[in-house]
Parts: sequence; C-alpha cells; structure tokens
Amino acid sequence: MKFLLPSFVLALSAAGLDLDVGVTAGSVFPVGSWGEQIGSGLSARAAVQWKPAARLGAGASLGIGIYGDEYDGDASVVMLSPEITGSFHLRPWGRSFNPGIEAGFGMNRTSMECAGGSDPASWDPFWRAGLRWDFGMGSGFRGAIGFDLASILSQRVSSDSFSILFRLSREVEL
Amino acid sequence: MRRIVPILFLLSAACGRNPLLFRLGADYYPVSSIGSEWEYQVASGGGVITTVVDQIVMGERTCYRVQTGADYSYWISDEGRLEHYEDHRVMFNGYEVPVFQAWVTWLDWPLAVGASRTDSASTFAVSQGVTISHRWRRTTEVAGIGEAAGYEECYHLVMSETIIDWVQTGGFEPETSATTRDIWLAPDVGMVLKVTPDSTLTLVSYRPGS
Repeated sequence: MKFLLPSFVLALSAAGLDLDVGVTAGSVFPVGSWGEQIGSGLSARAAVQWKPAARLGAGASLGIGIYGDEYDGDASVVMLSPEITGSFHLRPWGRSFNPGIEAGFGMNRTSMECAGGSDPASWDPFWRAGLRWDFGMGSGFRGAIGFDLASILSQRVSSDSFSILFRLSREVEL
Repeated sequence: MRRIVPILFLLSAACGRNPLLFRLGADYYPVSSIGSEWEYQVASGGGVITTVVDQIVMGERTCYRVQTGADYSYWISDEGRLEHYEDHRVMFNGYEVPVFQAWVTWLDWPLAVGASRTDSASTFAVSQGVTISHRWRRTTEVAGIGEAAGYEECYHLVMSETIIDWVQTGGFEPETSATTRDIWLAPDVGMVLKVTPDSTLTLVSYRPGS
C-alpha cells in the first residue's frame, strides 16, 4: 500500500499526464427525516483528477461534512467520504462559460456526538452528482460554482443532502 | 469483474449493520399523535394501556395529555427535546400539597450512547403554617443500543431519581426516596420495556395515532 501512491504518481509523471488539483467548499443541507434534529453544515473536499481528455476527468477525492444541531442542542454529525470521481465539461476552453457535471461514488463514514455521548460510527456506500459552472480565474487557476445532490445508501433509510459549492482548482502537468 | 463482486458484497454487507442515520431520523418517543396507544404487559400480572388522549394547555403551554391507567402525564416534543410536566406533591395532614410544577426536559434529541443529562429542583411550600421543603434530582444516561422486547435499535436509558421531602415540624424527619428505572426506547414506537425495582412493563402492541 505504501508504494501504491508513489507508483501512481510516478506512472502519471512518466506518461506526462495532466492533473487537476482542487479544493471544494460549501454549505450542505440535510434532506429528509435524518435532518429533523440536525441542521445545515459545512463541507470541504480535496480532489485530484486525471484529464485523459480536455472534457473528461477521473480521479479521487476525500470530503468532510460537519453538521450542527438544528436547535440549541450540542449535537454534531461528521461525515468523511473517500470516493472516486468523474467529470465532464462542455467547453473546457471557455474562460467564463464552461458548464459541466461531476459525480462521485464511495464510502461514507458518519459519526454523531451529543451531550457528551457518541454513537458508533457507521460506514455506508454513497453517491453524489451535481452541476458545475466552471470559469477561469487567472494565473492558471479555475473556479467553479455549483451544487451537489448526495445520498448515503444505508439499508433502512437513504439519507440525502443538498450542497452549494465553490471549487478552486489548478491544472498541474507532471 | 471477479474483483468487483466481492467489493459489492462488502459494500452491501456494510449497509445496515449500524443504521446510525436511521436512528437519527426516528422518533423515539412519539407522543405527538392523538390516539396512539401502547399496550403493556406487567410482569407481576395484568396489563396497562397508555393512550395519547388529547391536546390541552398545561403550565401555560400546549401539550399532549397521555393517560396511563387512571394517571395523566403531559408531554411536549418540539425543537429537539422532549419535555415532561413535573407535578410533585407531598401528602401532609391528609392534603396533597403541590411543591413543584414545571416543564422539565426529559430527553434531548438526538440520543447518543454515553449522553447524560441531570435536572434538579429545590423548592418549598407552606401549608397550614408548616414549611415543606422538596429537593428533587433526576439523572438520565443513555447506556447503550440494543434489542428489547423484539425491537431492534433501541436506546437503553438508565434514569435515577432522588426525592427528599421534609415537613419541617415536630415529629417529621426528611424522607428520602431513590429509584432507578431502566427504559428501552424503540425507533418510531417509543417505550417498549421499562424495568423498575417494583415492576416490569413489556410492550405487547402499539397502534400509532393520527
């Protein structure tokens, strides 16, 4: 495992491939019954995408979402989500108009704490998908705004969320 | 393909083993539906029925009135907490003297293993020229998650309550009573098992109201 990441980077370097490295942050809102006691939260995600073609991206990312109590209690929910991602953009050369879609699938670890206690964390598969409006920001940086719909696929109930996002990324050529 | 199948199997096996998000969305004390009815079997024999009777105003707040046998209790489940109307009375010279009436939080939602809350009150009342002091303390701890009375994903609560009443006149000493209750709450059902030193109640049937 410890040789996997260096080998991956080495392989990409040898191939002279383009990578898109970015961070995404935004607000996330629970949808459905699981959000009755849990309020909105903040999310962040670090991602690396390989660009086999200008319009296409494939990679991996690690996200975190932190939710607070809907009322004045002290409950908090933290979600960690390693995932594989894919993206498609319509006009990658566009300086101000480059709409696209992004999707991810992975596992989600949910932990919850309240009033000095904590429930055992749960691991569940999850997916997300959303639209992006990508634009150039100068100096090689690109920004994007968009939204995601996400769903955690646990057996008894699926727990959905909606997030509004801003992404900052930069293409890196290895 | 031979690698994908075990991965999918592992993913599906991971689902539902610990449905934390299901518990987060469940109502563990559904007292907000008039007509809801819980039928309990008492271990020593017989049974008892608990019903959400109606909505009334109690202590200047609108609440749900719940009847268990001949007794009434009053509940509000709103804004992330379950509140109970505490109505404490002390018998003195053949009269019931009210010493403490207030809405007190019974549980904070969501529940989590290890969470605890403590409520207490220290009051007094004067009846027939005699001061009656009343000290009350209740600690509730979420002891675990498990199965009870055939229901899964139940939260196990341990509730300890101490009351010290003192009629401050000759011939009376402070009276202390301490009780511990073990209560199991099931998702979208409510209390399914209650064990006290005197009795054990087990849910036989539950009919949600409208």
